[in-house]
Amino acid sequence: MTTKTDTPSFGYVLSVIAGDKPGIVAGLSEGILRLGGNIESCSQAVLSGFFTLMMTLRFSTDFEPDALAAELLKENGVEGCRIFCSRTSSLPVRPVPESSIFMLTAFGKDRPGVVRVLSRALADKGVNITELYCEKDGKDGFTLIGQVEVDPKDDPRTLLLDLEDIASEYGFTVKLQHKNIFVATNQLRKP
Amino acid sequence: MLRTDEVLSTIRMLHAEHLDVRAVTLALNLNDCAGSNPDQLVKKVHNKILRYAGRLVEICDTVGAKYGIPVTNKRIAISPASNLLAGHGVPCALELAKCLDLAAKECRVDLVGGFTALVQKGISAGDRVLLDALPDVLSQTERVCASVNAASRKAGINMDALRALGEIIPAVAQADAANRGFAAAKLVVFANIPEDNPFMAGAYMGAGEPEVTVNIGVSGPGVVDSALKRRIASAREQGKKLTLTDLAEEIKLSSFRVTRVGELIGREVAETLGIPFGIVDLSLAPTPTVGDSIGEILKTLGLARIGAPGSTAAIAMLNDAVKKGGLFASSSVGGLSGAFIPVSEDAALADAVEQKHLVLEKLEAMTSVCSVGLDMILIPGDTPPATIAAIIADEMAIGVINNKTTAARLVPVPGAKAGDKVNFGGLFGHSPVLEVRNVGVSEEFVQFGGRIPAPLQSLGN
Repeated sequence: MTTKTDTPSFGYVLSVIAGDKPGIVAGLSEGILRLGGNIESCSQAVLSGFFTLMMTLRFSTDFEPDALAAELLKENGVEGCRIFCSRTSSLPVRPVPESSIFMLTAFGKDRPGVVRVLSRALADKGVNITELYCEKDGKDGFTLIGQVEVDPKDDPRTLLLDLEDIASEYGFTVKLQHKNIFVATNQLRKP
Repeated sequence: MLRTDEVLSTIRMLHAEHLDVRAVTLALNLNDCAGSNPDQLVKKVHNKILRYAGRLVEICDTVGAKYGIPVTNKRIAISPASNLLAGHGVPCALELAKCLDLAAKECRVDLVGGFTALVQKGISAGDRVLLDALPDVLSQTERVCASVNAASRKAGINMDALRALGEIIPAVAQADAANRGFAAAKLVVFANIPEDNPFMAGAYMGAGEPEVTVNIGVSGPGVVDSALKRRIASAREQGKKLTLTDLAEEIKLSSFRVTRVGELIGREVAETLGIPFGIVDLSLAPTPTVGDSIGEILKTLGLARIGAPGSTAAIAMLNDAVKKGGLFASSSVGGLSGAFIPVSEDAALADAVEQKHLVLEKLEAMTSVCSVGLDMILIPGDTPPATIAAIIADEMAIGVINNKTTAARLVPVPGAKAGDKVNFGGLFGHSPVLEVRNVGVSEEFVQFGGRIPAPLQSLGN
């Protein structure tokens, strides 16, 4: 990450996709530094051979989003990527209450529509998905892991029962557990 | 941020490897309920238990659901009932036990422990009443569990108490002959009884504990066994040499994770109840379910027959590694915290007894390095009282000399002979009746009575 400037005032969200190859992150970060920007958060993954990246950036210069994307595409290693850019000010954000974060896990035989039924059921109940990972595994199985926000006033048992009904219909297994059980069992520091 | 493999390994541990919170035990001091009027005594006891434990099951279920892990048993442990029985008689002891049984039922807990006497140095009036009442109490109540501490590092072994228990234990079994002596499975004799043990039948609230607290017993033999199997399979696949040091490390890691689960659940239950959290007992407590067995761990560690030479060393390694992993996970470890080897409650151990690979004497040797002792051992109903007392004395000696807790939970099955099969059902499981050799030749030793003095604290070789 670059050194944070004293008067940053223009925020952007960047999304990049490409066929995976070495040097994409290096090229992007060099371009951001050249333009006087700072990377505030970043998430990158290679999914089935495709490079995907999201970043939030802050600049002291007011760039048009498309112009910023075009500038970054000039960097070595970034050519051939598809870059989508938006101002953060045009995208409302809301805080995530830590105490209500649950992990949703689902696994079973893969079929079209699994993500749709789960995400629709969650959306209909006002449950927000804050992270989502899913992958085909083996010949025909799938694994889905999602981090979701459950309103502290809601009983997670009721939500799980609804999700289990869907899972039963579609032939997969679903679990909903508070995040802290995963922190407690995997990290040295206690939740 | 949690990694995918971390999430999946926890899911596997919770849902495929039988990890559960075996017991959430609310420990409650009832000494302030003492009084000379038996009716008032039992009324105070009933009210106090309902006041503190009335919401225990509901809260355990809510917290368990939140984390996706079952709290299998919810229990109550009280301060020693003998403290309430001085100046009373056996009828009052029976009324108290029935009151505890009713209160436990109303709280929807499965067992209540603490019908306890601490007699390691001598038998008080209240202790005597409790001991005399045990056959009636344990055969006429469903949920009450009893324990007697008959020896300690500081007091030695009370042989007078063991001589009495040699008579009482078969009497308890005989009083419940219709259930093949099951009542005796609710009575355990200890050396160095822990004050904060959440596991039955020995749970009670000891001196020095707060007014009320929550103690947790986790389980997880299945988790440890699966982790070992994965490690061994992975090494074989990669052609790598694996040593027992590597396997001990794997046990530690599993124990760390299991302990963390228990502490997380326990602290939240205690906080919700508004009472202090006590300890996590990180014992590996098996169940009769296949895949939830200490015996299976021994097989995974390379012992084709449980009870074969090497079994004691394997148990020692397992017990030690469990403690090390758990102690790193939590600063609130207590209770028994080690590996249990209750024969009828562990399908693989029961099978080893049936195959005659595992005998009483080898079990005794294994208890010198495990966390409890001769646990859920079914013996012939005609085993002489002095022999029963002497078996327990041997077990007490292991605890007293080695400065550890040991215990004996023996069930002399009425009418049964060695090899007969007995099924108690549920968590108590099934087992053949073990052969007791050299019966009837310990009378003179036991009849001496008195107290085997406390051992030397130095020159420990």
